[in-house]
Formats: sequence, C-alpha cells, structure tokens
Amino acid sequence: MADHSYKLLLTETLLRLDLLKRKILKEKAKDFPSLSPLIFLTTLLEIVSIFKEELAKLHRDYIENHTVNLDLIISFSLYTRRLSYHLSFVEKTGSEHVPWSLIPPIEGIFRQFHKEHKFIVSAQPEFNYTYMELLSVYEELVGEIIAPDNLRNRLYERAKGELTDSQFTEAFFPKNKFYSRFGFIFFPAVERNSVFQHVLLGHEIGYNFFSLQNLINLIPTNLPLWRQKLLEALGYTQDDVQRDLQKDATYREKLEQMLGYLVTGLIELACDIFAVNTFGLAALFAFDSHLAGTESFDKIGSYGSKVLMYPPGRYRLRVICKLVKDSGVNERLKNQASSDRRLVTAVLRRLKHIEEVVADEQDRASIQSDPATSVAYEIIDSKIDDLFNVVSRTFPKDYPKGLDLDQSIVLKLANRLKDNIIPCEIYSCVEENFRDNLDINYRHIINAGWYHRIANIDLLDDMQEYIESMKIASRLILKAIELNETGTKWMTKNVPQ
Amino acid sequence: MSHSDESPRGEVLNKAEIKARLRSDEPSKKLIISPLLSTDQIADGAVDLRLASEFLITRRTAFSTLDIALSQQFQRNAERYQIHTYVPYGQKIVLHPSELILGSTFEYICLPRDLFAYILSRSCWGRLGLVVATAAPVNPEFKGCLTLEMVNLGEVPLTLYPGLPIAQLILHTCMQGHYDGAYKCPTGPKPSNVCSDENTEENEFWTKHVKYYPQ
Repeated sequence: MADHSYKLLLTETLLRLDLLKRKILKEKAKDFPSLSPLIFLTTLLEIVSIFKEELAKLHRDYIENHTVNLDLIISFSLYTRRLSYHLSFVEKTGSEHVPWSLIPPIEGIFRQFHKEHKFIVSAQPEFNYTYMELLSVYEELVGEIIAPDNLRNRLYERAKGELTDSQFTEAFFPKNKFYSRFGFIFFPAVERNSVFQHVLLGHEIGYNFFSLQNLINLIPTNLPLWRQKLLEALGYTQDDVQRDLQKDATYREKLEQMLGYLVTGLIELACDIFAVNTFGLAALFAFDSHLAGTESFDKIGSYGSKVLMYPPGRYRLRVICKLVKDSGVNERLKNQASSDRRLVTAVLRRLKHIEEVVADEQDRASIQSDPATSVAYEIIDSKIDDLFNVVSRTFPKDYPKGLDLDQSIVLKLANRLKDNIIPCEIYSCVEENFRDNLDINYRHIINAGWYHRIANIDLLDDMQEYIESMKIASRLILKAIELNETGTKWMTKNVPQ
Repeated sequence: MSHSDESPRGEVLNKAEIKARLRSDEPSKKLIISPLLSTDQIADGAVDLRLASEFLITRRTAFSTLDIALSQQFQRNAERYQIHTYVPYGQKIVLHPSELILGSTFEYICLPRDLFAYILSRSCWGRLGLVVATAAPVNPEFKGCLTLEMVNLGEVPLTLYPGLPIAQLILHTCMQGHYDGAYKCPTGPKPSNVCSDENTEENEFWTKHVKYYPQ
C-alpha cells in the first residue's frame, strides 16, 4: 500500500515539477521593468531543481534499499503546490502589464530604506501589498537536507549567473549575499495607463515599514484606563462583568475589537502619511478621488465589499490634510510667480475644497456608534502628531519629502503639459541652466500631472475633451518619467558641473 | 512679405538657427526637442535623434494577408502581426535582414507652425543597411515621439541599443501649416491606422464600391 502511494505521489510530484519548470522558463522569457521578477523566477527555478534532485535521491534509496519515506514525499508534494502558488505572484509583472517607466523610481524608494529588498509590482484586481520571505518557506523542507547557508550560496551563484556584469552591480546583493525578501505591490490592472492613481502605491509601500512592531510605542501602556473607558462606553461597571457572563463575553469581544481598530487604524494612517510624505500633494489628490468613491467614506469597518477595520475615508483624508497644512505648502504655492497663477489658483481651490470636506464630521457618527471604535479613535486622535513624527523619522535625512518639492519646478512642468509638451525637463540643452534639469525627478512630474488635471477640470463640460486630455497627459507623464530618469543618468555622467 | 526672422521660406535651418529656435520664447517660433541631451546632436541642417526603448515587433503569422477590404479581420490580424515590447536602456534589440520593427524617437518633438521636417537615417547607420523611416515627412505643429519604421536592408543582423542616435531630423521653414493627423501626441511607436474610422469611407469606396466595368 505504501509502495503504491509512494509511486503515485512521486510521479505526480515529478510531473508537476516538470510542468512548473516549463512555466517558469516561459515567464522568464518576458520583458520585465526591473530585475526583481527575474531573480524571483530564478530562485523558484533553482528550488524546482533541488526538489527534483532530492526526489531522485529518494527514489534511488527506494530501488536499492526498498525504503519508503512517505512523509517526506508528501512534504515535497505539498511544497511543490506552494511553488505554483508563488509563481502566480509574478505572472503579471511583465512590462506589458505594469506602468514600466514608473517601476525603477518606485523601486528606488524602497532601496532608500532597505538596500537588499527586492520589490515587485504586479497587476491584480485591486491595490494590495504583501511581502514574502521566499526562502524561509522552503528552508523548512530543504533546510534539513541542504544547510540554509549553502542553499543561499547556491541561489546567490545562480542569480549571479543569470545577470550580466552591469546588471549585477545594480542588483540588490549589497553584501554578496542572497536576500530573499520580496515586497509585492499590487495595483488594479485596468489602471496601467492611468498615471494619476499610481501614487496610491505609496500607501502600499508604507506597509513595508509600518507594522504593529514599528508603531508599538504609540499603543498606550495604561491599559486599565482604557479598559475603564470601554466599560463606560458599554454602559457597564466592573461588577457587571465580574458577575454577568454575557456582559463579560461582550466586554472581552469589544476589547479585542478595540485593539484591532486601534492597530489597524494606526497602520493605515501611517501608510497614508508615508504616501503623502513620498509623493506630496499628488497623493492627497489621489486619496481624495479614490476615497470619495468608496463605500467606507463615512463608515468604519468596511472597505468596498470587504469587512476590514480601516478608518473611514473622511477620517483618513482629514489626517493627511492636516499633514499638508502643517507643511506650509499652501503658503509656498501662494508665493509663486504670477505667470503660474492659473495653476496655483486651481490647486489652492482644490485644497480648500478638501478642507471643507474634512471639516464635515459625518464619519464621527460611525465611529461613535460603537463602543470599541469610539475608544480606539479616542486614542488614535491623541496620537496623530506622534504618527507624523514616527513616519517622518523613517525617511533618510537627505531624502526630500514630497511636500517639500520645489513648487516652481512643478508649476513649470504643469505648464508644459497644458501645451501637450512632455514634462521631462524645463530647460533645453542650448540654455545655460540646462544642468538645473537634474533637480527634477518623477515626483515633480507626477505632481505636475495632478496640477494639470485639477486646472483642467473646468473642461468637464465637454466630458470627451477632458478625458482625451487626461489620456494624453497620462501618456506624457509616464514617458516623461522614463526620459527624466534616463536623461539624469546621462547628464550625471556627461555634462560637466 | 516677412515670414521668418531667421531664414527665407523653404530653406533648411542651419545650426545657429536651430539653436535660436530651441531658445525662442515665442510660441509660434519655438522648436521643442525634449530631452535633447547634448548640443552635439545639433548639426548644420539636422538634429540627431535617439532610439527609444519601446518597439512593435512584427512576427510571422498564419494569416495570408493584411487586406483593408476586410476591415474587422484586418484589425485582428494587425494585432497578431505586431507585438509590443520594451527593451530597457543598456539592453539590445537585433534587427534581422529584411525585418520590419517599429520603434520611436527618444525625443519628443514639437514643431512650430512654420517648420516642416523630414526624418531620415543617420548616414553611419544607413551605410550598414538600416532604414529608419519610410514615411519621412513631419508636418508643422506635430507633437510627439516620431515612429521609426526600421528595416534592415543589409545581409547581416544589426544590433541596436536604445539611446543610440540613429536618425536625423532635417528642419525646413515653410508656409504656416497645421497638423491634424490621427497620431495625437504619441509617446511610442504607433501601429498603422489605415483601417481607422477616418479612413473607412475611402477604403470602402476603393475596395468595394468602385466598378471598373460598366454594369
């Protein structure tokens, strides 16, 4: 019986590994905007090879000694299925699926913080984030056979062999070691060519930096006080919960929910703040248009069709609006040259509109309607400034924040967009200040796109014309990011100071 | 009648005139070639243009022909005929003998209303058999990256790298003109629009309705 099961499972697993290998090779032939998916696929391929080698050894044992280690074969079978699952993560990461010109600069954001991290953007139905310590999954199984360090060395050599010398120096093996932590960022596939919402990726990137561990200092330590507040919100006394089992059960459930809302709220808000600190006003405008269209704008505890513990959209908008106001960007905009008045007026009008939206406190009713959320948000309300500081400290000192971008550059680029001119530079090479183009990066360009979009909203009477102009702007922005990145590399090497 | 401050109508712009046009603040005279990475790209009579990183590659297919008379089939076959691909800077693309690939210029061009242009191969590449444009004229007021119809007329494959200057733009002054074409602000290679709505009437007349023999 064991023999039969053994043969069936062995052949099934080997067949699956063969099919998997073929599929991985096919995926590897695609064009990718970054080396990370290639390294991920190479890693999977090498794990397939290791599995096949180990299964061959097991089979030799079986033939020579008639020993059957069925449990191990079952493990290989289960892990082979997991490999297929992991492969699905990179199936929509090719250049044809993602806004490829944006990937290298966004990867640059990650590498500002963690040099060794690999980062993969994938087209999926909606925005999401996950990270994967790829090897740790397989080390459980393979680590018993191959020492983890040897496994990493083997994968390092394999990945190195995959890349050319010039690629290898750019790849993320800072200490000549194989790091297998991959951050996956998912964005809605349908929005590939619409650059405006892509800044929301900043929120997803934030998950990489903000978890309960990073924000633990913001959780109050004086639990008795907050327990008491929850009891009051429930209308209970200490005696009630000690004597009444039902009330005790309700209290415990609400306490757990309160902590859930608190932690989720802090993480979500930290990620929003991270996005605005990274992308500046563009992120505020993108959140404004994104959140206004969700069912959870004034509701807590749901997000689209999902039941999550996210803060209401209006609350989130209010927090980042405060961040924007505190940064003084409004004043800096007001002081810009009169030639840019059309754009400045439109942007300031939009900011004022968002301020009015968040001044309305309809979301508070949803928060107050439940004892768990009302207590959780009492804590969150008191921690907003601390959150700003925690997120701010995450950024390297020499990394300019999105709200500190030079507004005169953004406005000049937006003016180019008005005339359907690509916003990748503001000076031509025949001009003396050509080198000042080096001050421009993808964040100026995306913000210029948003300014242009907001200033053109008056065209909305002619809906088709507005949509056409947005499609052209999106195209120009994505191309401008590519040209700016490439041009900057060229100038850094070729244009003397 | 004065039509240009720098050169008489129909003349090819020289180096100084091209630079003056690039510097100009006057919208009706301003020439934009963005990003122009180096003044070395500007020569007397021409501006060198670089190869961008997006391509439409033609492939062998099972269908027998691209026939505009069968417009629906044409659309589908055209999609199957050309694959969109992207070659990062630092990577290469190989153009085989007689192969057609659509690429585009790295630079985004905006012509003022009194300039007309032609795009041609740079002679150093032309001598290796590379033709970069079969539809060479560029109308006044055109804005966008120019599509390059690249064919290798030589006998051996040519390896091309995005970023290399392979084309040149010859600029002429002209009567004031206006671009009203179908390709609005392209930023990469655009496939043919020969079966687009605007051409339907013309195509249908010449492929279906016209009768040579009397009825």
